[in-house]
Amino acid sequence: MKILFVIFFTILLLSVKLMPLPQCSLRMAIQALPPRIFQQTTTDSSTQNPLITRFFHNKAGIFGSEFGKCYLNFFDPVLIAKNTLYIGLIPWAYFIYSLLLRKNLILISILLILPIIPFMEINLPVIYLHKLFAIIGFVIYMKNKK
Amino acid sequence: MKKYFLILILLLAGFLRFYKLSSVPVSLYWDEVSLGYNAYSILKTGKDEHGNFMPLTNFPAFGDYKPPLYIYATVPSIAAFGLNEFALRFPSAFFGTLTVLLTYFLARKLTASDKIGAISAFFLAISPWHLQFSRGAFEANLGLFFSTLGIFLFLHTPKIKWLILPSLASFLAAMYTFTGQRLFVPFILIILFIQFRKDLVKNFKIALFAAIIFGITFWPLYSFATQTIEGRLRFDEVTIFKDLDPINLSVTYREKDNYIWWSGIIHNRRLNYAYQYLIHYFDAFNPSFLFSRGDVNPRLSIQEVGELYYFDLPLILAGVYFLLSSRQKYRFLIIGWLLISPIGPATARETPHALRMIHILPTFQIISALGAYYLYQLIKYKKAYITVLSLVIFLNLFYYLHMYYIHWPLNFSGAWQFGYKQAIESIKPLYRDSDQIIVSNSLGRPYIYALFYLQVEPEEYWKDRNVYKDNFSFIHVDNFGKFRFVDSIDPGNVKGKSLFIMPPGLTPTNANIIKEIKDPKGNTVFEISQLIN
Repeated sequence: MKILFVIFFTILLLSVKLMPLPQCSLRMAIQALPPRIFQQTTTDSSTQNPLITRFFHNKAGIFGSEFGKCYLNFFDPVLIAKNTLYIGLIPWAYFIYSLLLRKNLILISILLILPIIPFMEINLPVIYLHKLFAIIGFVIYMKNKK
Repeated sequence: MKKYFLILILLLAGFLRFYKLSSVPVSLYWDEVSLGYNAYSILKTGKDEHGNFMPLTNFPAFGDYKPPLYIYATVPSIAAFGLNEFALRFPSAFFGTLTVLLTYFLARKLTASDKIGAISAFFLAISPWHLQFSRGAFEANLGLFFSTLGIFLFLHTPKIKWLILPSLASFLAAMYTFTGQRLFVPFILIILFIQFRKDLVKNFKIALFAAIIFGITFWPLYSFATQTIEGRLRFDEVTIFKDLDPINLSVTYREKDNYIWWSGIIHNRRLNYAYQYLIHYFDAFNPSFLFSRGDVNPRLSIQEVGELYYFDLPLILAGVYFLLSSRQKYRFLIIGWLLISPIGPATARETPHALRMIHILPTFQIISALGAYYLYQLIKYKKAYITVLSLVIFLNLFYYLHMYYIHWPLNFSGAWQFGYKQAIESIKPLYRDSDQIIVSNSLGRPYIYALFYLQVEPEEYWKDRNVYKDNFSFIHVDNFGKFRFVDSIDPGNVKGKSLFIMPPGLTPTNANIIKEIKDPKGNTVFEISQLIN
């Protein structure tokens, strides 16, 4: 009976149309640097100490901000929910929670590295992994359920 | 825990909330001015700007029917400091600082640790989300103080049962302060009832008595909000449930299926609305909103920093993990509070919305503090951990403060309707000699700025004002005194000595421009001109 539920859940999730990640890549982050640097440094007063201007508005900081936006897009709950039909969001979260409980550092590290793949414009459909995580989470839940 | 750490945190919170309070945000936006002038009117006459005596459930204002409590809270402030920006924003900054103190006691009670209490208070003191609303006249910020106080007092009811009365009074005050609280308080009460169900059953009589008092005092607000057109106006204006797209989608899909019976079940419009609601609910946890850019509205966020700092992300994740895995006593309350907070705001079109969801604070800060504390317990190199964390926190804080005080006022002065104050003050010396002053409606509701900055006595205003309500129940003022408020003007119909306050391009061609009001970036916002016909 549990297997039937898992199969039904898997078919349901796989039938959901995939919602892609927003366009966000290394190339776009680098392209954003000059205009943002210009805009931010010109906003600072010309009487302000240049060191303070450089401290607050530098390429590393702006790149970090752009990277952070791209990285976190992968974990957008609406994106995950749409790719897992909303009902899959709870098994997805359960999967992550199980990883943390078991202190599975290798899988956790892989999970944390995944968003870098689309950022580097490597053509791998990592977005499908949300469905996989939801299915695995559901399987773990059904297995643990007495 | 040494008390002076808490005092230092409070001093920091106060400083961050009061420093340059009059000048950053760069000007008062129309809702702030409306709150201020209505408070001034109450102070002077006991009536609001429309002549209603001591309104109980709402102030009509622009036809947005503002909840009353922030206005009443501003009256003593205006009495003490005068009708100005500082007086208007003082209650928000003051109660914002008090909320930091309250967070310390609340977090200490929830976690049984004064260290976590202090860290939570510190995180709220420097929170971009809380600072944004503590430094403007936002009713939501005062509402947050009351609802947080209500939760704190409720936590003590198992030991001191009569505290349920002031707790429910605080929740009531929250609902009389901010509309969004009316969709938060019922849910947080459910969470609290579940958390403390055994104690409530034990103290059933006092709980029932408190509920009756609550019901009686809530009744006027409930009647207004649900049984009048004015009360439902705001909700109807913003709700997703008035949107016709889900219905049209349902009809389209059912038509494609030739209206077969099961199509009505699969493509049911209620499912479409539910789907839309879930999208709006989960928007509350959008990482870009929380950590990267904040609210898209530049009045509600500085656009360069999220509602939370980046360092909050790992701390919150760690905090949630420790909260659940250590089976912490109040984990249901804390996580429940976090999850029910977006329920009300998700009914609106604009999500995520930092203002409507402010009552989610300070759960993020408490969870973040939990994460920081438990990581400290786990990590071997504690001094290195504290050094790195402190450095990261202060770098984030200084960056935020730099962007808040230097960049945001320059880049987004338009969002705060910059220019009205300068324009009104420019025409003050010419007021007596002019027959009329014609002001453009282009930035919205200029009449309230004229009333505020000229400190027009309400009785003077009521003598000859021309007010009307449009088809959407919004209230407009066409003129009062020498002022006329127009969308466009025909200079040929203007007689006598006239002053014009118009945006560039709308100044009459035959008028003599005497001053230009420029925004902080040097762009002309208003042209003040004179015409004698």
